[in-house]
Amino acid sequence: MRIYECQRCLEHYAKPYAVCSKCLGLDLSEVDVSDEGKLVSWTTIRRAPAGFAVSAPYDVVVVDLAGGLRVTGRLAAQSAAPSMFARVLRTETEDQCPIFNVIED
Amino acid sequence: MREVYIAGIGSTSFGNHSTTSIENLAASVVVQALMDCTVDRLEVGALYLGNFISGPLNGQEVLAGIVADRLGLGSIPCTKVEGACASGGIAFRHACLAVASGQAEVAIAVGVETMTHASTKDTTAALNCALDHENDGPSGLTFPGLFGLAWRMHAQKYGTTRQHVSAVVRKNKANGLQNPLAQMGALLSEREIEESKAICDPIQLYDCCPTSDGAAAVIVVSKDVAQRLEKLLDHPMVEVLACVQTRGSPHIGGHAELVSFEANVKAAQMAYAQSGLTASDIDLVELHDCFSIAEIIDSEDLGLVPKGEGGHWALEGRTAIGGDIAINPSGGLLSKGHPVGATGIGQIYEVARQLRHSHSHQVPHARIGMSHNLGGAGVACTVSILRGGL
Repeated sequence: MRIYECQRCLEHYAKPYAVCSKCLGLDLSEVDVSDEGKLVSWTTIRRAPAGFAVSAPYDVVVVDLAGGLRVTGRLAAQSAAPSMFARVLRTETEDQCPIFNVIED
Repeated sequence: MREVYIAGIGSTSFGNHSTTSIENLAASVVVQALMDCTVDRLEVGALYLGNFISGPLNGQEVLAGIVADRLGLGSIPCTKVEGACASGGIAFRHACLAVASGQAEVAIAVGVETMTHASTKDTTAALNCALDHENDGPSGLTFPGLFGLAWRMHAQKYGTTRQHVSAVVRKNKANGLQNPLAQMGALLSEREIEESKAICDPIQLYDCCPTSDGAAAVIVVSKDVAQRLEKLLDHPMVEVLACVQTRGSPHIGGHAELVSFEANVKAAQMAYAQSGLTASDIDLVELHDCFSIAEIIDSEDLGLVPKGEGGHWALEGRTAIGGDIAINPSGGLLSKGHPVGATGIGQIYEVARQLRHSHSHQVPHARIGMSHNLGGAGVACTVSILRGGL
Protein backbone atom coordinates (compact mmCIF):
# COMPACT_ATOMS: atom_id res chain seq x y z
CA MET A 1 0.00 0.00 0.00
CA ARG A 2 1.22 3.49 -0.88
CA ILE A 3 1.75 5.88 2.00
CA TYR A 4 3.87 9.00 2.53
CA GLU A 5 7.10 9.32 4.49
CA CYS A 6 8.83 12.44 5.77
CA GLN A 7 12.34 12.47 4.35
CA ARG A 8 13.65 14.25 7.42
CA CYS A 9 12.16 12.34 10.40
CA LEU A 10 10.67 9.26 8.61
CA GLU A 11 7.17 9.83 10.08
CA HIS A 12 4.43 8.09 8.06
CA TYR A 13 1.17 9.59 6.76
CA ALA A 14 -1.79 8.09 4.90
CA LYS A 15 -2.17 11.15 2.68
CA PRO A 16 0.29 13.40 0.78
CA TYR A 17 0.52 16.25 3.29
CA ALA A 18 2.61 19.27 2.27
CA VAL A 19 4.09 19.51 5.77
CA CYS A 20 5.25 16.86 8.23
CA SER A 21 3.33 17.80 11.38
CA LYS A 22 5.99 16.14 13.53
CA CYS A 23 9.11 18.04 12.34
CA LEU A 24 7.68 20.60 9.85
CA GLY A 25 9.75 18.96 7.10
CA LEU A 26 8.50 19.85 3.61
CA ASP A 27 9.66 16.76 1.76
CA LEU A 28 7.25 13.83 1.94
CA SER A 29 7.82 10.96 -0.47
CA GLU A 30 5.69 8.04 -1.56
CA VAL A 31 6.70 4.70 -0.05
CA ASP A 32 5.11 1.29 -0.40
CA VAL A 33 4.36 -0.67 2.76
CA SER A 34 2.72 -4.04 3.42
CA ASP A 35 -0.96 -4.34 2.53
CA GLU A 36 -1.58 -6.36 5.66
CA GLY A 37 -3.18 -4.99 8.77
CA LYS A 38 -5.35 -5.61 11.81
CA LEU A 39 -8.99 -4.53 12.06
CA VAL A 40 -9.53 -2.40 15.17
CA SER A 41 -13.14 -1.34 14.56
CA TRP A 42 -15.89 -1.26 11.96
CA THR A 43 -19.39 0.09 11.44
CA THR A 44 -22.04 -0.62 8.84
CA ILE A 45 -23.12 2.60 7.12
CA ARG A 46 -26.76 2.12 6.10
CA ARG A 47 -27.26 5.63 4.73
CA ALA A 48 -24.44 6.91 2.53
CA PRO A 49 -23.54 10.60 2.59
CA ALA A 50 -24.83 12.71 -0.30
CA GLY A 51 -23.02 12.22 -3.57
CA PHE A 52 -21.18 9.17 -2.34
CA ALA A 53 -20.48 6.68 -5.08
CA VAL A 54 -20.82 3.41 -3.22
CA SER A 55 -24.33 2.33 -2.36
CA ALA A 56 -25.19 1.54 1.25
CA PRO A 57 -24.93 -0.60 3.23
CA TYR A 58 -21.14 -0.82 3.42
CA ASP A 59 -18.63 -1.31 6.21
CA VAL A 60 -16.22 1.50 7.15
CA VAL A 61 -13.19 0.04 8.90
CA VAL A 62 -10.29 1.30 11.02
CA VAL A 63 -7.13 -0.68 10.30
CA ASP A 64 -3.70 -0.67 11.94
CA LEU A 65 -1.31 -1.39 9.10
CA ALA A 66 1.54 -3.80 9.74
CA GLY A 67 3.91 -0.80 9.58
CA GLY A 68 2.04 0.91 12.44
CA LEU A 69 -0.04 3.55 10.62
CA ARG A 70 -3.77 3.69 11.49
CA VAL A 71 -5.98 4.30 8.46
CA THR A 72 -9.69 4.61 7.69
CA GLY A 73 -10.95 2.48 4.80
CA ARG A 74 -13.79 0.33 3.60
CA LEU A 75 -14.42 -3.39 3.48
CA ALA A 76 -14.84 -4.92 0.04
CA ALA A 77 -18.46 -5.86 -0.65
CA GLN A 78 -17.49 -9.51 -1.12
CA SER A 79 -15.24 -9.66 1.98
CA ALA A 80 -15.77 -12.21 4.75
CA ALA A 81 -17.57 -10.79 7.80
CA PRO A 82 -15.51 -8.47 10.01
CA SER A 83 -14.55 -9.32 13.58
CA MET A 84 -12.45 -7.50 16.16
CA PHE A 85 -8.70 -7.81 15.48
CA ALA A 86 -9.30 -9.81 12.28
CA ARG A 87 -6.35 -9.83 9.87
CA VAL A 88 -7.12 -7.82 6.74
CA LEU A 89 -5.45 -7.26 3.39
CA ARG A 90 -5.76 -4.18 1.20
CA THR A 91 -6.69 -5.38 -2.25
CA GLU A 92 -7.38 -2.12 -4.07
CA THR A 93 -7.77 1.64 -3.65
CA GLU A 94 -10.94 3.31 -4.87
CA ASP A 95 -11.28 7.11 -5.03
CA GLN A 96 -8.48 7.57 -2.46
CA CYS A 97 -10.05 4.96 -0.15
CA PRO A 98 -8.17 1.76 0.70
CA ILE A 99 -10.42 -1.30 0.27
CA PHE A 100 -9.73 -4.22 2.61
CA ASN A 101 -10.69 -7.89 2.70
CA VAL A 102 -10.83 -9.98 5.86
CA ILE A 103 -8.30 -12.83 5.67
CA GLU A 104 -9.96 -16.04 6.76
CA ASP A 105 -7.88 -18.45 8.85
CA MET B 1 -7.51 38.35 33.82
CA ARG B 2 -10.67 39.77 35.42
CA GLU B 3 -13.52 37.78 36.93
CA VAL B 4 -16.43 37.10 34.58
CA TYR B 5 -20.13 36.55 35.31
CA ILE B 6 -23.22 35.43 33.42
CA ALA B 7 -25.94 37.98 34.07
CA GLY B 8 -28.63 37.18 31.51
CA ILE B 9 -29.78 34.11 29.59
CA GLY B 10 -32.24 33.42 26.79
CA SER B 11 -33.20 30.43 24.67
CA THR B 12 -35.78 29.23 22.18
CA SER B 13 -37.13 25.75 22.52
CA PHE B 14 -35.13 23.32 20.41
CA GLY B 15 -37.13 21.69 17.62
CA ASN B 16 -38.88 23.06 14.56
CA HIS B 17 -38.64 26.82 13.91
CA SER B 18 -38.73 26.51 10.15
CA THR B 19 -41.00 29.54 9.73
CA THR B 20 -38.44 31.85 11.39
CA SER B 21 -35.27 33.04 9.66
CA ILE B 22 -31.94 32.17 11.24
CA GLU B 23 -31.07 35.82 12.03
CA ASN B 24 -34.50 36.48 13.60
CA LEU B 25 -34.17 33.34 15.74
CA ALA B 26 -30.78 34.55 17.02
CA ALA B 27 -31.90 38.16 17.55
CA SER B 28 -34.94 37.07 19.58
CA VAL B 29 -32.87 35.13 22.15
CA VAL B 30 -30.43 38.02 22.54
CA VAL B 31 -33.37 40.31 23.41
CA GLN B 32 -34.56 37.70 25.94
CA ALA B 33 -31.10 37.56 27.52
CA LEU B 34 -30.72 41.37 27.64
CA MET B 35 -34.16 41.75 29.24
CA ASP B 36 -33.38 38.96 31.69
CA CYS B 37 -30.61 41.11 33.18
CA THR B 38 -31.86 44.61 32.24
CA VAL B 39 -28.63 45.44 30.41
CA ASP B 40 -28.95 48.27 27.89
CA ARG B 41 -27.81 47.25 24.41
CA LEU B 42 -25.57 50.32 24.25
CA GLU B 43 -23.45 48.77 27.01
CA VAL B 44 -22.59 45.77 24.82
CA GLY B 45 -18.94 45.88 23.74
CA ALA B 46 -18.69 42.72 21.63
CA LEU B 47 -20.82 39.95 20.13
CA TYR B 48 -19.68 36.41 19.34
CA LEU B 49 -21.97 34.14 17.38
CA GLY B 50 -21.56 30.36 17.24
CA ASN B 51 -22.82 28.77 14.05
CA PHE B 52 -21.68 25.85 11.94
CA ILE B 53 -23.49 25.59 8.62
CA SER B 54 -25.49 28.73 7.82
CA GLY B 55 -23.46 28.93 4.58
CA PRO B 56 -24.51 25.61 3.02
CA LEU B 57 -27.97 25.34 4.64
CA ASN B 58 -29.15 28.98 4.68
CA GLY B 59 -26.93 30.59 2.04
CA GLN B 60 -26.10 33.24 4.65
CA GLU B 61 -22.75 34.19 6.16
CA VAL B 62 -21.59 37.32 8.06
CA LEU B 63 -24.28 36.22 10.47
CA ALA B 64 -22.80 37.94 13.54
CA GLY B 65 -23.01 41.37 11.89
CA ILE B 66 -26.49 40.69 10.53
CA VAL B 67 -27.81 39.71 13.97
CA ALA B 68 -26.19 42.83 15.50
CA ASP B 69 -27.84 44.92 12.78
CA ARG B 70 -31.27 43.50 13.63
CA LEU B 71 -30.59 44.33 17.30
CA GLY B 72 -29.49 47.89 16.55
CA LEU B 73 -26.12 47.35 18.23
CA GLY B 74 -23.38 49.95 17.74
CA SER B 75 -20.25 49.68 15.61
CA ILE B 76 -18.84 46.98 17.91
CA PRO B 77 -16.80 43.94 16.85
CA CYS B 78 -19.19 41.12 15.84
CA THR B 79 -17.60 37.78 15.08
CA LYS B 80 -18.95 34.44 13.92
CA VAL B 81 -16.92 31.51 15.23
CA GLU B 82 -17.04 27.97 13.89
CA GLY B 83 -15.86 24.73 15.42
CA ALA B 84 -18.55 22.35 14.14
CA CYS B 85 -20.62 21.11 17.11
CA ALA B 86 -18.41 23.11 19.51
CA SER B 87 -19.17 26.45 17.80
CA GLY B 88 -21.41 27.62 20.66
CA GLY B 89 -18.92 26.74 23.38
CA ILE B 90 -16.20 28.59 21.48
CA ALA B 91 -18.41 31.68 21.10
CA PHE B 92 -19.01 31.65 24.87
CA ARG B 93 -15.29 31.41 25.55
CA HIS B 94 -14.55 34.40 23.32
CA ALA B 95 -17.22 36.49 25.07
CA CYS B 96 -15.63 35.55 28.41
CA LEU B 97 -12.18 36.50 27.10
CA ALA B 98 -13.44 39.87 25.85
CA VAL B 99 -14.69 40.72 29.34
CA ALA B 100 -11.83 39.07 31.25
CA SER B 101 -9.26 41.02 29.24
CA GLY B 102 -10.98 44.34 29.86
CA GLN B 103 -11.82 44.87 26.18
CA ALA B 104 -15.53 44.89 27.06
CA GLU B 105 -17.66 45.32 30.19
CA VAL B 106 -20.54 43.42 28.56
CA ALA B 107 -20.32 40.83 25.79
CA ILE B 108 -22.96 38.72 24.08
CA ALA B 109 -22.48 35.04 23.25
CA VAL B 110 -25.22 33.73 20.97
CA GLY B 111 -25.52 30.42 19.15
CA VAL B 112 -27.92 29.53 16.37
CA GLU B 113 -28.63 26.87 13.77
CA THR B 114 -31.60 26.06 11.56
CA MET B 115 -31.64 22.63 9.94
CA THR B 116 -35.16 21.20 9.77
CA HIS B 117 -35.99 23.08 6.53
CA ALA B 118 -33.26 21.18 4.66
CA SER B 119 -33.45 17.66 3.18
CA THR B 120 -31.67 14.81 4.98
CA LYS B 121 -29.31 14.63 2.02
CA ASP B 122 -28.31 18.30 2.28
CA THR B 123 -28.08 18.16 6.08
CA THR B 124 -25.84 15.07 6.00
CA ALA B 125 -23.59 16.71 3.41
CA ALA B 126 -23.37 19.91 5.47
CA LEU B 127 -22.63 18.04 8.72
CA ASN B 128 -19.99 15.98 6.95
CA CYS B 129 -18.05 19.25 6.42
CA ALA B 130 -16.79 18.60 9.97
CA LEU B 131 -15.00 15.40 8.88
CA ASP B 132 -11.34 15.51 7.84
CA HIS B 133 -12.09 14.94 4.16
CA GLU B 134 -8.54 14.08 3.22
CA ASN B 135 -8.29 11.25 5.76
CA ASP B 136 -11.76 10.00 6.70
CA GLY B 137 -13.99 11.36 3.95
CA PRO B 138 -13.11 8.94 1.11
CA SER B 139 -14.29 5.91 3.14
CA GLY B 140 -17.91 7.14 3.14
CA LEU B 141 -17.89 7.68 6.88
CA THR B 142 -20.67 9.68 8.57
CA PHE B 143 -20.84 11.07 12.12
CA PRO B 144 -23.12 8.30 13.40
CA GLY B 145 -20.58 5.94 11.82
CA LEU B 146 -17.72 7.54 13.74
CA PHE B 147 -19.51 6.83 17.01
CA GLY B 148 -20.38 3.32 15.83
CA LEU B 149 -16.62 2.74 15.48
CA ALA B 150 -16.06 4.23 18.94
CA TRP B 151 -18.79 2.06 20.47
CA ARG B 152 -17.19 -1.16 19.17
CA MET B 153 -13.82 -0.12 20.59
CA HIS B 154 -15.37 0.77 23.96
CA ALA B 155 -17.23 -2.54 24.02
CA GLN B 156 -14.03 -4.45 23.21
CA LYS B 157 -12.00 -2.68 25.89
CA TYR B 158 -14.53 -2.32 28.70
CA GLY B 159 -17.36 -4.75 27.95
CA THR B 160 -19.92 -2.02 27.33
CA THR B 161 -23.20 -3.55 26.12
CA ARG B 162 -26.40 -2.46 24.37
CA GLN B 163 -28.06 -2.45 27.80
CA HIS B 164 -25.48 -0.02 29.24
CA VAL B 165 -25.84 2.35 26.31
CA SER B 166 -29.64 2.08 26.41
CA ALA B 167 -29.56 3.26 30.03
CA VAL B 168 -28.13 6.57 28.79
CA VAL B 169 -30.86 6.85 26.14
CA ARG B 170 -33.63 6.09 28.63
CA LYS B 171 -32.32 8.57 31.21
CA ASN B 172 -31.83 11.46 28.75
CA LYS B 173 -35.13 10.87 26.94
CA ALA B 174 -36.93 10.82 30.31
CA ASN B 175 -35.06 13.97 31.47
CA GLY B 176 -36.25 15.74 28.34
CA LEU B 177 -39.88 15.24 29.37
CA GLN B 178 -39.18 17.57 32.33
CA ASN B 179 -37.67 20.30 30.15
CA PRO B 180 -40.11 22.54 28.23
CA LEU B 181 -37.29 23.48 25.80
CA ALA B 182 -36.62 19.85 24.83
CA GLN B 183 -37.54 18.53 21.39
CA MET B 184 -37.96 14.81 22.04
CA GLY B 185 -38.56 13.78 25.61
CA ALA B 186 -39.96 10.24 25.91
CA LEU B 187 -40.37 7.29 28.21
CA LEU B 188 -38.74 4.45 26.27
CA SER B 189 -38.59 0.77 27.07
CA GLU B 190 -35.47 -1.31 26.59
CA ARG B 191 -37.28 -3.07 23.78
CA GLU B 192 -38.31 0.08 21.90
CA ILE B 193 -34.65 1.14 21.79
CA GLU B 194 -33.43 -2.30 20.72
CA GLU B 195 -36.04 -2.51 17.98
CA SER B 196 -35.46 1.00 16.61
CA LYS B 197 -34.08 1.34 13.11
CA ALA B 198 -30.41 0.40 12.53
CA ILE B 199 -28.42 3.48 11.46
CA CYS B 200 -24.71 2.58 11.61
CA ASP B 201 -24.24 -0.65 13.56
CA PRO B 202 -24.29 -0.72 16.51
CA ILE B 203 -25.88 2.78 16.49
CA GLN B 204 -29.68 2.70 16.22
CA LEU B 205 -32.21 5.50 15.80
CA TYR B 206 -32.66 6.28 19.50
CA ASP B 207 -28.88 6.49 19.93
CA CYS B 208 -28.85 9.61 17.73
CA CYS B 209 -29.73 13.20 18.57
CA PRO B 210 -32.43 14.70 16.35
CA THR B 211 -32.07 17.39 13.68
CA SER B 212 -33.07 20.69 15.28
CA ASP B 213 -33.57 24.42 14.92
CA GLY B 214 -32.79 26.63 17.88
CA ALA B 215 -30.93 29.56 19.39
CA ALA B 216 -29.59 30.50 22.82
CA ALA B 217 -27.79 33.55 24.18
CA VAL B 218 -26.01 34.61 27.35
CA ILE B 219 -24.88 38.03 28.53
CA VAL B 220 -21.37 37.96 29.99
CA VAL B 221 -20.37 40.85 32.28
CA SER B 222 -17.52 42.15 34.44
CA LYS B 223 -17.64 42.04 38.22
CA ASP B 224 -18.48 45.77 38.41
CA VAL B 225 -21.50 45.27 36.17
CA ALA B 226 -22.49 42.06 37.97
CA GLN B 227 -22.47 43.84 41.34
CA ARG B 228 -24.64 46.65 39.94
CA LEU B 229 -27.12 44.22 38.37
CA GLU B 230 -27.35 41.87 41.32
CA LYS B 231 -29.03 44.64 43.37
CA LEU B 232 -31.68 45.11 40.67
CA LEU B 233 -32.45 41.51 39.82
CA ASP B 234 -34.22 38.68 41.60
CA HIS B 235 -31.80 36.05 40.30
CA PRO B 236 -28.17 35.50 41.35
CA MET B 237 -25.20 36.09 39.06
CA VAL B 238 -23.38 32.98 37.85
CA GLU B 239 -19.59 33.12 38.05
CA VAL B 240 -17.45 31.63 35.29
CA LEU B 241 -14.73 29.82 37.27
CA ALA B 242 -13.13 28.28 34.17
CA CYS B 243 -13.67 28.34 30.43
CA VAL B 244 -11.14 26.49 28.30
CA GLN B 245 -10.79 25.29 24.73
CA THR B 246 -8.55 22.57 23.37
CA ARG B 247 -7.74 20.93 20.04
CA GLY B 248 -7.59 17.23 19.30
CA SER B 249 -7.05 15.16 16.17
CA PRO B 250 -9.49 15.96 13.34
CA HIS B 251 -9.33 12.39 12.06
CA ILE B 252 -9.66 8.85 13.37
CA GLY B 253 -6.07 7.80 12.71
CA GLY B 254 -4.80 10.63 14.94
CA HIS B 255 -6.59 9.38 18.05
CA ALA B 256 -4.67 6.86 20.14
CA GLU B 257 -7.98 5.09 20.73
CA LEU B 258 -11.55 6.07 19.96
CA VAL B 259 -12.60 5.15 23.51
CA SER B 260 -11.41 8.60 24.54
CA PHE B 261 -10.92 12.04 23.00
CA GLU B 262 -7.67 13.70 24.04
CA ALA B 263 -9.23 17.17 23.65
CA ASN B 264 -11.81 16.21 26.34
CA VAL B 265 -9.19 14.95 28.77
CA LYS B 266 -6.94 17.98 28.35
CA ALA B 267 -9.83 20.48 28.58
CA ALA B 268 -11.10 18.91 31.80
CA GLN B 269 -7.62 18.97 33.35
CA MET B 270 -7.20 22.64 32.44
CA ALA B 271 -10.69 23.57 33.70
CA TYR B 272 -10.13 21.85 37.06
CA ALA B 273 -6.75 23.57 37.41
CA GLN B 274 -8.18 26.99 36.47
CA SER B 275 -11.08 26.69 38.93
CA GLY B 276 -9.14 25.02 41.74
CA LEU B 277 -11.86 22.37 41.87
CA THR B 278 -11.97 18.62 41.28
CA ALA B 279 -14.51 16.34 39.60
CA SER B 280 -16.11 15.56 42.98
CA ASP B 281 -17.08 19.23 43.36
CA ILE B 282 -19.30 19.15 40.25
CA ASP B 283 -23.02 18.85 41.05
CA LEU B 284 -24.23 18.60 37.47
CA VAL B 285 -22.89 18.54 33.94
CA GLU B 286 -24.40 19.25 30.55
CA LEU B 287 -22.16 17.24 28.21
CA HIS B 288 -22.00 16.49 24.52
CA ASP B 289 -24.16 13.37 24.01
CA CYS B 290 -24.55 13.75 20.23
CA PHE B 291 -24.82 9.94 20.27
CA SER B 292 -25.58 7.80 23.33
CA ILE B 293 -22.11 6.22 23.46
CA ALA B 294 -20.59 9.73 23.46
CA GLU B 295 -22.06 10.41 26.91
CA ILE B 296 -20.26 7.34 28.26
CA ILE B 297 -16.94 8.36 26.67
CA ASP B 298 -17.26 12.04 27.67
CA SER B 299 -18.23 11.32 31.28
CA GLU B 300 -15.09 9.17 31.62
CA ASP B 301 -12.84 11.69 29.84
CA LEU B 302 -14.04 14.51 32.10
CA GLY B 303 -13.08 12.43 35.15
CA LEU B 304 -16.67 12.39 36.43
CA VAL B 305 -16.92 8.60 36.13
CA PRO B 306 -14.05 6.07 36.37
CA LYS B 307 -12.62 4.85 33.04
CA GLY B 308 -14.74 2.13 31.49
CA GLU B 309 -17.57 2.53 33.99
CA GLY B 310 -19.70 5.11 32.17
CA GLY B 311 -22.22 2.50 31.07
CA HIS B 312 -22.38 0.88 34.50
CA TRP B 313 -22.99 4.21 36.22
CA ALA B 314 -25.82 5.02 33.82
CA LEU B 315 -27.41 1.60 34.35
CA GLU B 316 -27.17 1.93 38.13
CA GLY B 317 -28.82 5.37 38.10
CA ARG B 318 -25.69 7.09 39.37
CA THR B 319 -25.85 9.72 36.59
CA ALA B 320 -29.50 10.64 37.18
CA ILE B 321 -30.67 13.48 39.44
CA GLY B 322 -30.19 12.15 42.97
CA GLY B 323 -27.25 9.96 41.92
CA ASP B 324 -23.51 10.64 42.26
CA ILE B 325 -23.49 13.26 39.48
CA ALA B 326 -26.44 14.56 37.44
CA ILE B 327 -25.48 14.15 33.77
CA ASN B 328 -27.62 16.00 31.23
CA PRO B 329 -30.63 16.79 33.45
CA SER B 330 -31.86 18.91 30.49
CA GLY B 331 -32.21 15.78 28.38
CA GLY B 332 -28.94 16.48 26.59
CA LEU B 333 -28.53 16.57 22.84
CA LEU B 334 -30.30 13.20 22.58
CA SER B 335 -33.53 14.59 23.92
CA LYS B 336 -33.33 18.37 24.05
CA GLY B 337 -32.01 18.47 20.49
CA HIS B 338 -28.86 19.60 18.70
CA PRO B 339 -29.16 22.82 16.67
CA VAL B 340 -25.42 22.55 16.14
CA GLY B 341 -24.14 26.11 16.62
CA ALA B 342 -26.64 26.80 19.43
CA THR B 343 -25.90 23.67 21.46
CA GLY B 344 -22.90 24.98 23.44
CA ILE B 345 -24.73 28.15 24.51
CA GLY B 346 -27.85 26.08 25.23
CA GLN B 347 -25.75 24.04 27.66
CA ILE B 348 -24.56 27.23 29.43
CA TYR B 349 -28.21 28.36 29.58
CA GLU B 350 -29.22 25.06 31.21
CA VAL B 351 -26.38 25.09 33.76
CA ALA B 352 -27.02 28.74 34.65
CA ARG B 353 -30.71 27.99 35.21
CA GLN B 354 -29.75 25.10 37.50
CA LEU B 355 -27.37 27.36 39.46
CA ARG B 356 -30.14 29.97 39.81
CA HIS B 357 -32.28 27.14 41.23
CA SER B 358 -35.02 27.97 38.73
CA HIS B 359 -34.94 24.90 36.43
CA SER B 360 -38.06 22.85 35.75
CA HIS B 361 -35.93 19.72 36.34
CA GLN B 362 -33.87 21.06 39.21
CA VAL B 363 -30.81 19.34 40.66
CA PRO B 364 -31.32 19.94 44.43
CA HIS B 365 -28.76 22.28 46.03
CA ALA B 366 -26.80 22.68 42.77
CA ARG B 367 -23.85 25.00 43.38
CA ILE B 368 -21.22 24.02 40.81
CA GLY B 369 -22.03 23.08 37.21
CA MET B 370 -20.00 22.07 34.17
CA SER B 371 -20.66 22.27 30.46
CA HIS B 372 -18.83 20.30 27.76
CA ASN B 373 -19.02 20.83 24.00
CA LEU B 374 -17.14 18.67 21.45
CA GLY B 375 -16.77 19.37 17.73
CA GLY B 376 -15.96 17.30 14.66
CA ALA B 377 -14.18 14.01 15.20
CA GLY B 378 -12.81 15.42 18.47
CA VAL B 379 -10.97 18.36 16.87
CA ALA B 380 -12.38 21.09 19.15
CA CYS B 381 -13.53 20.96 22.76
CA THR B 382 -14.69 23.51 25.31
CA VAL B 383 -15.27 22.93 29.01
CA SER B 384 -16.65 25.53 31.41
CA ILE B 385 -17.14 25.40 35.17
CA LEU B 386 -19.75 27.73 36.64
CA ARG B 387 -20.75 28.65 40.21
CA GLY B 388 -23.95 30.22 41.44
CA GLY B 389 -23.75 33.48 43.41
CA LEU B 390 -21.55 36.58 43.28
